[in-house]
Amino acid sequence: MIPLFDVQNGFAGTTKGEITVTRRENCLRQMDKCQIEKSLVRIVPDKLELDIVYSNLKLYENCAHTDRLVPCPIMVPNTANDIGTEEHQVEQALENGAGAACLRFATDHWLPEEWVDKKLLDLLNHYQLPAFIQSTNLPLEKFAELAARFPDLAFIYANAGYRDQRLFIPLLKNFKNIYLSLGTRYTVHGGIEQLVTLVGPQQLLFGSGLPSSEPMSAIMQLVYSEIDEESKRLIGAGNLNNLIKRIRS
Amino acid sequence: MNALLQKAREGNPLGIDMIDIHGHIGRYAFAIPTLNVKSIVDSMNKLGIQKTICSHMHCMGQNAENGNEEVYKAIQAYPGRIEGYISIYPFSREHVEIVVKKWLKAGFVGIKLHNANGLPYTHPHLEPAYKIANQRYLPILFHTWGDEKEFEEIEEISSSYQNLSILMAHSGACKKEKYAEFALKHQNVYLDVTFSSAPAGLLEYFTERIGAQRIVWGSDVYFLNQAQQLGKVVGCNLSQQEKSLILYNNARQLLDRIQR
Ligand SMILES: [Zn+2]
Repeated sequence: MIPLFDVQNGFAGTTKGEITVTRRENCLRQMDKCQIEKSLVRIVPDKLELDIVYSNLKLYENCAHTDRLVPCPIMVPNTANDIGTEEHQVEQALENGAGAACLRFATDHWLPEEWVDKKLLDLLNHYQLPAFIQSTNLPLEKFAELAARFPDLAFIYANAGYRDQRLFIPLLKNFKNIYLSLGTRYTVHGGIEQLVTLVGPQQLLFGSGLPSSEPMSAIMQLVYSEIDEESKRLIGAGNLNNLIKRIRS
Repeated sequence: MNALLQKAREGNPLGIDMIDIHGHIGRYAFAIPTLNVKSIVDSMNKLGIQKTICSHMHCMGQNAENGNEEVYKAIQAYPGRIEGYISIYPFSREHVEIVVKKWLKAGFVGIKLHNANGLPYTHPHLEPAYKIANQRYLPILFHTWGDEKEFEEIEEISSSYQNLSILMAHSGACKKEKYAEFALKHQNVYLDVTFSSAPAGLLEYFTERIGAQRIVWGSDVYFLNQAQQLGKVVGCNLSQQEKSLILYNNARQLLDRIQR
């Protein structure tokens, strides 16, 4: 069976009109149900996670007692001195075993421009802490520009849609530091097969979309795909494990 | 882990009967990597799906007839595995009547209507299609996206043509409560849960509200991946019997009630 390390998972958040909060235990239960070994987790849904400092503490606390949950805290440039220095944010993340930093440009009101992000991105680059970015928070062209500025840093693009195959192929070919989460919504017929054939499996990551999505969808898409076993293993867990191994402490 | 989930997790054939009631062939505006019918049949074989009922992407516009011809070729190439929905562009009442009669005779099993053309489902030119479909107890797959107008139009059609099996595509992609209420009100309405995402709990919600007997499964292949779309049923928290109704029995009944 293909081992799975889920890049697109989370818990403890809520959204407008939703009373139920997915607890960490639910997340672990779902992982057990589908035999997902580990997950990179955020507080999700994150629409109402507006106090980043508190949100990250909540995340670290929830990930503290298991190595199956790898935190992906939110980070922002401290240009307005409201949030703790970039050094502190990154150090705290590393101390808590973070596997990536979640950058929410639109939600947190900042831009991927050198005059805004240089200090934070330089630090991520130095520590090789991957940047996790959702498609809803940054248009693809801006995402590509950012990745071009830091060719040695890994950028993970999550919530990729099924309509963008025409862009994803040149994106992944031209930017070897970009990784695509094949989570919920990336589901075009023959898509994974074409990406593996034209680009290779190294830049693809399995993502379940938990807790808002049924994880078996992303799992079945991967395990039934017409690609070789080794590629499935890389996408399932290998590539993300390799990214996390590269993080410097 | 139950047996079905285990097979799915390992990528083995699921060993249960399945009919995909919502497929397409043909090119579209965004890139679809694999545009051959064989790739659908390969996917069906891998998963263990008996049939996929397809319309053409041209169901959305004036090239519908070319689409029907392509679907006909697919049916011929894979008899019993690929079935066809007739696509209609309502140029005139006469045109619609000729098209429906022609393709029914050729073996198509239902009609697919899409409102991307900006025309209401109650357009008078479509009347012959509804009349014939009603006489033959056909399924009609309506593209829907939770729009008020869509519900109003389909309500009118459902009330006027009670022998139709009305399939609401993309049920629960938004406004799940409205879809459930609509199905409760109209006994000839079936909820098709095709949707790119796989919202957790949606199938459980519909089953609780309307029962599993009027939920049907479709993949939206070539747009979407059949295995990914199956995952939402395989993984959901329903009994094996309920899953079988959704994946097969309900669709089988819809096909069996057609009068040729
Ligand atoms: Zn469709």
